[in-house]
Amino acid sequence: MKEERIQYRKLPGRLRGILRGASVWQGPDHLLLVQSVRFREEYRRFYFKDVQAIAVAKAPRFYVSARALLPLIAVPFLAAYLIARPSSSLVMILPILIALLLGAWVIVASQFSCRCRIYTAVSSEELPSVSRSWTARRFLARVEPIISAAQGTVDGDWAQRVDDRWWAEGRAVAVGPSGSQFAEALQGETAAPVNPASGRRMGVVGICFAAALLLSAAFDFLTLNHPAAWTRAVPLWFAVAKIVAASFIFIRYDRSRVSSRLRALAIAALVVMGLLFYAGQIRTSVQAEITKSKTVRVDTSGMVTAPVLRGVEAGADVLLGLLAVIVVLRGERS
Amino acid sequence: MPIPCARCQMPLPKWEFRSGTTATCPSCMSPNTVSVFPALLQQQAPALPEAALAGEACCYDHPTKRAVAACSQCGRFICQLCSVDFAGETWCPSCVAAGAGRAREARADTSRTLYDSIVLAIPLLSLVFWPLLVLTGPATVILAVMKWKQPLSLVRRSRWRFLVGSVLGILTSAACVWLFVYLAMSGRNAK
Repeated sequence: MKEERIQYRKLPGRLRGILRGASVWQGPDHLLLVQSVRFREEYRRFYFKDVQAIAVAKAPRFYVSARALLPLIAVPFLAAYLIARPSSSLVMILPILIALLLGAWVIVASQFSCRCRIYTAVSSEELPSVSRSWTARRFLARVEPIISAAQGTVDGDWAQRVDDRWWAEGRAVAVGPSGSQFAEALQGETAAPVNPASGRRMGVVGICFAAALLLSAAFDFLTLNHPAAWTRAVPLWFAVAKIVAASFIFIRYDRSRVSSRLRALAIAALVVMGLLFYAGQIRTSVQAEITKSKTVRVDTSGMVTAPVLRGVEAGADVLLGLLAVIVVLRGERS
Repeated sequence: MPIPCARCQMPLPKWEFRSGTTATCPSCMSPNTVSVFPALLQQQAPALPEAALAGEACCYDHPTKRAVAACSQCGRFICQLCSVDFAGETWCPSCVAAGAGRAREARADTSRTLYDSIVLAIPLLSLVFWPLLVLTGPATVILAVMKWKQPLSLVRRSRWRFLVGSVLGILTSAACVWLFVYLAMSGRNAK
């Protein structure tokens, strides 16, 4: 089946978070709100003929754009430069520059930020991409004429007309959140949310993941101070097993076969592995610097070899493995 | 219906709108600028089905209600409550819900997985934790081939991420193979 192609034009404003993003696009007869979470996009459509109002409220927004974090890549190089040349003028300029940037960010985030909402008869949705006052002005300047062209304009005292109509229909004026939100809240009280994965079997993947973590932890604990060469090779295979099990968990989560908790544990296990890998590399460099060694022995396997770090890794693996066992057992029972 | 505050969702005082389009929320004290459109003032007439008299055609789902139309898709009689305007035709709720005929094509996407971004991210993230390249290089190429025809983002049209990710995957795979061969050869020469 050929995909129907709709040409969208981007509207002012874009939220670039570390994991989340948002933007609003203009279609032929609707606005498209795109909210992305990592590698998934969710879409909400607001047809021009259905939009009742757009409200912009001044509010602080202390979010950090992912692009603003890009200069952080330079921090290690800068630190190395400053350590090598402590008399550099950068030592004086850099703190002032950082303080100025932070101050500017705080002022913009607190004084020139806003929240924008779009209202239809059945929904009230926030537009996260419209977060700064100047962006909101540009956004409204683009959107208002389009919606007015589809609906016309409101003349006179619309507030009184809305109120008159409301009373004429014999309804009480709603106080607080809109009726649909009350209905949702009421529904939430009567019917508890059901996790579709909770009633399904976690399967072999969850057990393998937990087993890999616990076996790896047991091996690390038993050979913590064992200098034999083979004790360095075995953790590599445990690492591969953990990565493969975590990858299968992600795949099965995508098919709604495992719970989000197990996926979170898989992510945590990978993050712990990555962090300890870096900690090991930094530790090697620091040790070489302290001992002034001319030849630094680099461990090309990328595995953590220091007893302290292996102990930390083993502890984290035990914790995550036990949590994985609990998640798997609870999933089986329900 | 009062307009809620964009920050705290409490209703804004209507008397403030008489002087313009701004109002201060009495709850959070945030100044709100509101753009109002005629849809707010439209009255939606409630669809109330009429009772069917003896001998009159009645609704398929509501036998006591008078039929006002026949479904353009399946031909069932439907009452005022059941009639759904769909692309200039009248359909019954069952056909719309089942995605029959053109309803399937008209069903709008609400979410998509961005496989092209995944294909690009895997080799780049693997560069940070380089021993993984042995696995991720071929995996990237396989994923790119498997998901090449999957729909992209609604608002992005180019497949360059697929291409760049595939090239990176091929290069890293080749580099891994070369490294293994090199190590094997140097080991043999040493003996």
